[in-house]
Amino acid sequence: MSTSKSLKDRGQIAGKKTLGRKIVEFQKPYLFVLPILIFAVAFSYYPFIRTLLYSLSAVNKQGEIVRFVGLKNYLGIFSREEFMNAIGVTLEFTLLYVPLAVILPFTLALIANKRKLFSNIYQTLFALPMAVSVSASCYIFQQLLHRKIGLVNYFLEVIGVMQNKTNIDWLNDKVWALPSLSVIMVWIHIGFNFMLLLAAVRNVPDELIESANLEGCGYWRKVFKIVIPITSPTIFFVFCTQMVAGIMMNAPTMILTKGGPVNSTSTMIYYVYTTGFRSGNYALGSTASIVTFLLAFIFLMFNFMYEKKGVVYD
Amino acid sequence: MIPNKIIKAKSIVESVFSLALGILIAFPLFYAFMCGFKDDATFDSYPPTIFPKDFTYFDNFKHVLFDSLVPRFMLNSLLIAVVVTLVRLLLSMFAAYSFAFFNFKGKNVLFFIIIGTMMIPTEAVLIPNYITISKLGLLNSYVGIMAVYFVSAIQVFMFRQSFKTISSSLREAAFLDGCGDLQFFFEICIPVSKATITALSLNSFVAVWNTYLWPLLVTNRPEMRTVQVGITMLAADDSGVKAPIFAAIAIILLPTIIIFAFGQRNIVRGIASGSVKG
Amino acid sequence: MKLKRILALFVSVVMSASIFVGCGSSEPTDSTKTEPTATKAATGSILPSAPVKVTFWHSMKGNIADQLKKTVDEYNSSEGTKKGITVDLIYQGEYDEASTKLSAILQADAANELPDIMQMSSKGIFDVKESKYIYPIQNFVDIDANGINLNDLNANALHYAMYNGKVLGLPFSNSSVMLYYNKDMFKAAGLDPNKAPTTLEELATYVKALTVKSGDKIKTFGLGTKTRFFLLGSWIPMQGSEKYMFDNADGRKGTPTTLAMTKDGTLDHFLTEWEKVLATGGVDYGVVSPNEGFQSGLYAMMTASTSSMASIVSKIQNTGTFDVGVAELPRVDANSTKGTGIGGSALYVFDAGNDDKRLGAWDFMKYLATPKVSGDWFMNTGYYAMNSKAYDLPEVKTFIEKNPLYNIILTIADNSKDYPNYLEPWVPAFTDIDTTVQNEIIKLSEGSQDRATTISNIDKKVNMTLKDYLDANGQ
Repeated sequence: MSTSKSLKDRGQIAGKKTLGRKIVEFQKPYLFVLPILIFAVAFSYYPFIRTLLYSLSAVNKQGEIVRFVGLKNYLGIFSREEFMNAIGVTLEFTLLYVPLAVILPFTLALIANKRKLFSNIYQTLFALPMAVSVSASCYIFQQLLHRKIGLVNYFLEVIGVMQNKTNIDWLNDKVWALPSLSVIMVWIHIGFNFMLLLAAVRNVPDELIESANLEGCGYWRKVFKIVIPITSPTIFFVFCTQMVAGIMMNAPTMILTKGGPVNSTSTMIYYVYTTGFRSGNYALGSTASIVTFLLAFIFLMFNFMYEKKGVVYD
Repeated sequence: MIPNKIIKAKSIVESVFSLALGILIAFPLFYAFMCGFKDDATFDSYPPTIFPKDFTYFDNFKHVLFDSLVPRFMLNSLLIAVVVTLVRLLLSMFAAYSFAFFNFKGKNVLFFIIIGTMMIPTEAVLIPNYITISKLGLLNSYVGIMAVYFVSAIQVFMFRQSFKTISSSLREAAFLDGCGDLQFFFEICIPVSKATITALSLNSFVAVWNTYLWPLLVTNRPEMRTVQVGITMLAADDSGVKAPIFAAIAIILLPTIIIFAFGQRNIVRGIASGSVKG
Repeated sequence: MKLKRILALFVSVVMSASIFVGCGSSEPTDSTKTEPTATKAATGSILPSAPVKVTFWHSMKGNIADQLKKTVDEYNSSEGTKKGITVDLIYQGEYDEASTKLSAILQADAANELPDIMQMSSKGIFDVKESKYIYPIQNFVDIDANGINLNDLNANALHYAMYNGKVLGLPFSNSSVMLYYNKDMFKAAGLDPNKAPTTLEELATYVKALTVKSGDKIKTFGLGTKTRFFLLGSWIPMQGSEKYMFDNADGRKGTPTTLAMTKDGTLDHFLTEWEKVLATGGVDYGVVSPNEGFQSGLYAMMTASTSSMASIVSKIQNTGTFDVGVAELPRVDANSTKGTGIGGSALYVFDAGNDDKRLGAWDFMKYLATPKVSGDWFMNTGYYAMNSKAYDLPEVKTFIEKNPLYNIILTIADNSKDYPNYLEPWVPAFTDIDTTVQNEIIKLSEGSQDRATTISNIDKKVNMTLKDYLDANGQ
């Protein structure tokens, strides 16, 4: 980049600079960054540091730091069964959720990529869930998954999977609640991920596909040898954002299950909310926040380490 | 001839299958619309039905449109999502402009600071942010809801990429012609990044429209609630019956669905023309 | 060139200024003005000096919310109009959500965001009972001779809203837990439909008789329930005198420091009896709100609040779905007392410095406490009438004659009147502690841990939560 050089050239051509002008030139790059920086500091770093301080202190219910306790909260939180459970639930959820959240929309993108009869219609249908908000989605699925009058159980009964009245109470069953929530989350995010991936798949150069055709490659071979490598930056992007979304999951838990049954859907952020906010235990809630942050951070670091191997940038 | 026919038949089968898949994926949406037309008895009946008895049963819709605050919730959400999206774009593009075209002391540190916000999710810093907003007297205000969403690290990153595609010789030439930074920014950078802007605006709009926990906490007055918060609060008004909630969901969905149905292909094209590339 | 420079400066100034402009313009417009205190409000006028809007946050849902709205509308169009008081009823989410909001406001010290009246359950009251903004009802009663006669109020409910011997809130939506059962199923199982189980041991035989299986799967559960604080608040104290879940009289005499029920054997005794019920295999032990399953025939019996009465009568009894039977909550054993605990919520007044709003709130509360309004509330919900004189009103008497199921509520109230300390506890982190206890008992119910482990887990976890609080906040 030769920006500073170009500025200098321009300055020479334009003639002498006044002192004021020099100051403006010097400040300019900072002025452009300043607005976003103010908000970044005010609503990310300041609260983050405050959360960090809380996590190292005893904090009373007025939110005042009573005393500094060092790493006591951190050492303590890992002996709390509820928090360890929340870590487990979060990891399990992420594990259930992320593969589906990447593979399903990618498959849809492959399907929608071919132009065919109805393709405009089903491309729109695939993207449509994007228009639905989280809480609306939650209500719709709550109704669909209703133990008695839900269509899902009715359908299963009709096809003969469950032929008695005590159908599965999807959202209130220790085994099924978390998978149900991950399906709901996948549905909520499927539209946007589908569009991102469709755009990427459409961008695969035709020449590559044609030359593969000439070599007589089968469809799946083309997908694995050409489409996936070329779209890998987008797949990686979707993977990372969905991983963070998985680790930070809380709204479906809050609206549908309240962490139950028996804490089987109590995620880390839900723990932060209940302990830190609802119960006013700010020290513990902040500690849980920081641990969640670290977990996401470590996961992303891993991703970026792997990125160098697996992701192909052209 | 015969192979052609087989290929054609195969293609039709594939199309029909894809269409069926599309219908399955969009089914929850369709179902919500249908439920909006159901009276209480149909809604609770067993075996459950997909279709209402009667498509002329408008009581739920009337109730939502005229006796509830749902229209107001929608306006609130719309305003918040649009303003946040615009502010985000502007702030991100300004910062990206600086990072793409200037060399200055602390550039890398500043860039890292801004990208680092990606790692600090709003959910994890709820409590101190609540206190900040409250101390500024911004509880129950639009700005209070919006302020925490103005920074988008992903956008800064992507706009920087996008601006970097503008060659520095173009910029030099423009400056020789007397063009200034702002003019260059508005007349060259923005038009060049149109596709990125489309994709990121959409992403941002949806993300903000969808937020739940933060608006729930900072709004105490019904007239300030967003759609997300508002519909979870509707349960109280409706005699414990959920059919009107579905009418509300349907009404809330209508505008976004229309935008998607018509704009969706342009959006894909917008993303495709080069945003999420390395 | 010069123009460009000016533009650059202009934009950066505008950008930074806009941040502040943004703040300024959105300042809450109708924030509570802290006017100079009306000089002699304490002894003088007990009505607001100017028209006033009273904000009332509540957490009621369904038919009960409708009834509350009706009451408020009636007040606004009658008494309210006369006195220039408008009550603004706002649903603020369920008890937990509403209390979370309130604690956030108090923590941020944002007094002008406080409601004037708030309906709060045991979940929220602990954190605010000593707040500087709460204005005890006792103060109103002391200055307003024609206000509310505390002797008229349901004594147990009044006790519920008292702290350290002082009336903190106005009892409002208080209820007790009771047993509802399906008489048709009783008949089908060969049981006398007019005789309900009275002890847990009897309950076990009933559950066994009523449970219907088809193959391995259960078609009808004998009982749908969840052992939460609302139930333990009856089952623990009924085992003797001065039995509490927590020390410091369940938090009514100070912050609880430890669990009492794990040490004095009451929890162990209850669980021993409860295991007999669980052993039948016919208990669905994880449902907070079994009403829907009861209606659909999934449960032959359920434990639910008296406040479910109105909806059960209208949705099941009056529609002829089946014949509903009602009874008191079964006793732990034959030696238990006949008292049933009380739970629910009360109304609390917050004082952010505006005397008019405070007095407006008081006037509305006096209206709520009249026999007529209390009676309406009772008839349309199943909550106790806060003013016991309501039961003597002719319309209430006629109503009970027509809806004899309601008699059970009077029976429970009558049998419990000597036991005013059977209450839901006031503890820090109420919902967390309640959830912990529920979850441990569910683990016992599933058979994944034994009774001793259950009790020691409850003891360990709950005491840890209490210790967290005490370490940070002191006694």
